[in-house]
Amino acid sequence: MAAVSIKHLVKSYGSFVAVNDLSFDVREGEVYGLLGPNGAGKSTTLKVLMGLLDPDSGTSTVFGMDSGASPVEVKKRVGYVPEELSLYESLTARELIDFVASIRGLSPETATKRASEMSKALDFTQQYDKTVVTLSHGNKQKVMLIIAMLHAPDLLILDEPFTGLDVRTARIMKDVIKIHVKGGGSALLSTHIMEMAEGLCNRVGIIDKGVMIAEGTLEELRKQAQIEGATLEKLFLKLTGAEEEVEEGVETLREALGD
Amino acid sequence: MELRFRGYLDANPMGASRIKENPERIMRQIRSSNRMSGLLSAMFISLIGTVSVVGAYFNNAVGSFYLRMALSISFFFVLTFVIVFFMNLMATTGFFGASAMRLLSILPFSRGDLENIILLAFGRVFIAPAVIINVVFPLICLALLGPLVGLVALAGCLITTSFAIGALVKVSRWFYIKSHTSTDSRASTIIRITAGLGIVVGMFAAYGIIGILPTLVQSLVQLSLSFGEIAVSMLALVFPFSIGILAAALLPGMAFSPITIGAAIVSSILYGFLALVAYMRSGNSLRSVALGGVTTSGKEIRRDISVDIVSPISAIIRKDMKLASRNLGSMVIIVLPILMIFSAYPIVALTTEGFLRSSSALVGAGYITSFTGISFIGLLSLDSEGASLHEGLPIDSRMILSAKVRVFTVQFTLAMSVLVVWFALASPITPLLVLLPVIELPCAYSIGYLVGAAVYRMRGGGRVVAINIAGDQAVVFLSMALTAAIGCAPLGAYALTLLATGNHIIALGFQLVVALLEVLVARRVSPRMLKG
Repeated sequence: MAAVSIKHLVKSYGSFVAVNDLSFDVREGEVYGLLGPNGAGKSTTLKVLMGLLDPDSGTSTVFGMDSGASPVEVKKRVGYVPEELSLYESLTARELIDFVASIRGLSPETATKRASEMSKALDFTQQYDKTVVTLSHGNKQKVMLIIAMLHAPDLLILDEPFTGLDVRTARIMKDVIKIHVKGGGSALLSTHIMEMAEGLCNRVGIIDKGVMIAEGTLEELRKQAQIEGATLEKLFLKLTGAEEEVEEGVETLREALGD
Repeated sequence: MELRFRGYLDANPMGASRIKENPERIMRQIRSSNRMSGLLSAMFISLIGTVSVVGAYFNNAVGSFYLRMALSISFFFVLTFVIVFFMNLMATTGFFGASAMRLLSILPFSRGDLENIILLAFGRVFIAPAVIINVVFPLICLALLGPLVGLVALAGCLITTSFAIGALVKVSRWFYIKSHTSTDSRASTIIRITAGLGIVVGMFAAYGIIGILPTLVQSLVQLSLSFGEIAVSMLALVFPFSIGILAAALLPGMAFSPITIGAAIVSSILYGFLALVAYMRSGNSLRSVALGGVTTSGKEIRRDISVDIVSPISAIIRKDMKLASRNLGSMVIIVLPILMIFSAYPIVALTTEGFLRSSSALVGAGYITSFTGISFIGLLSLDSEGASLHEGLPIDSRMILSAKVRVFTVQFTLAMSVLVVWFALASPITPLLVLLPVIELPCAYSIGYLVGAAVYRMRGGGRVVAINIAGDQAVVFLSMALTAAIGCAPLGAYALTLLATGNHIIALGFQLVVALLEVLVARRVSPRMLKG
């Protein structure tokens, strides 16, 4: 059974079609990267998958469960880190983790063990009793990661997990995902950072304007784009047709800065 | 403006989410609310000045003229202290945020410039009431009681303003630190909540005192008379009575004994000196903001990592209470039903025949019940910050609503309990009237579930959404209308049955039947309006 299965998904906001007939699967035990420019429909897809948005048509399932019909059941098996970190600013990390562990009905021993070990691994123990408002973006991201993994989920869904992170934290985040998958879990992440996707994902799907334009392993994408040995960044630009746009933009900037 | 903006965000739990919606609207609202606050302060102060001094001047009811004037002037100082303190407390907590001066600190300003800017910005918050206190009241005293009394009144006003500002700086700084610092004991949490509640309830109680000022003066005059001159001499040592007595002593004629006058002079000089010290210290406290704000990060106590598990509903309630206790704006909303009792007092108390009629009891109960809807929406607004957590958590919207309804039931029960006591004390036309608020209690359930489900349906398609009280007028109107309808239907049943039968027991029976029917409707309808 696929960890995630999206079939012919369509989602519009008024007249704007954010996701247009999108289909892809995430297999169990793999890291799947959803790549695409800003506004491509990545976050919308993940929100539909979490049952936070109702699709106009199509289906989205997590381990065979319809995310629209059984969002609570889906969330029990998923650890989700959204793109925008909107947390209770006046609570401490400890209070947030207590809240989440209670909602998930974890035993005190299990929750304490996991929170403690993950805080150590993420170098977060010093921040554990600080109010969220005083935490940096990277540390907020760590809180969200601890919260997302507290119940040992079968599937991690991470929306732009590397944005705004320093090198060390990004590396830790990457290793956490690898360890999760090594332990039998699956991961679906959206990212702009091509190096991360290249080093981490077993397969990627490139979407643009809500449409899947290419999907597969790095090697399959190279074949599809007919560029041997190309980096994922080069493939991404070629497949999204953005190469010329980038060159034009750089040229305009060069002229502007040259004045 | 930035500092006021931060103060506004601190006082409004839904503020953070509103920034993105319509920042210009919020800025306009802050400006207009500051203008309103200044205008209201001015009106209050003028009113208190008139009620206290002019009222005492022409009222010959009890005691000597001098003692009445001394106490009236003193009470004016007490009340102006309360007004300056409470009216500006919420606006000033934002001054102590570390980032309040961030933008200015990267601009080419010296440290001295930054300190002066923060002092001026703080002063501007209560410039209107401060000016009015120090101009209007001395002028009233000058016109009525002569130049010497006017001069002492001016000194008294300056001392009171200085003390009020000093207290304001201390308390808002303390509350900011408390609300942004984690603590490791339940005792600290209880102290924080109690202090917050004390501030909020104190604010409303202080305004309530204005209405009974002449009675209060009269009572104190009588008390002083029964204890004799020694009581007045003791009073002359206490602020602000020392200044009030000194002012009255300057009136023509033999006002007080030399000991009393001496005590008043010495104490007034001492309080003048203390006011100067308070003013200087306030300046120093505020200057710390210019140097990066009040730090709260160093206050945390490192503890071992352990996770405290409770049931999901208890976890939601615990989280809501923690959020509310760290924000004065939220706390006002939470205790709103209790606060409404203060404003409903005249409805219950004003009985020309000397006893409480059914109609007054009905209006009082209906009035308070109708306003509880805002309080319930306040509970829903607490989730405006935690979207990232909720998006990933397996929480059913019914579970969240259930937790909110439990908190609301406590609020509602407290409000109705106070009403029961008031009804009992107001000599009801029949003892059965005391049961009127008791039979309203099931409405907590029906109001909570029906209003919550309707709002979630309206704004989130049945999913949990955070509600913005200040910005979402439609939801506020809906909640108030629904609450009024649900809360007043049993009262209406009581009224109609009483009119038809004249029998209180049958009327109360019908009230109970309608209240229970509403509970059944809420049980059946609300789950259908919600989505997981």
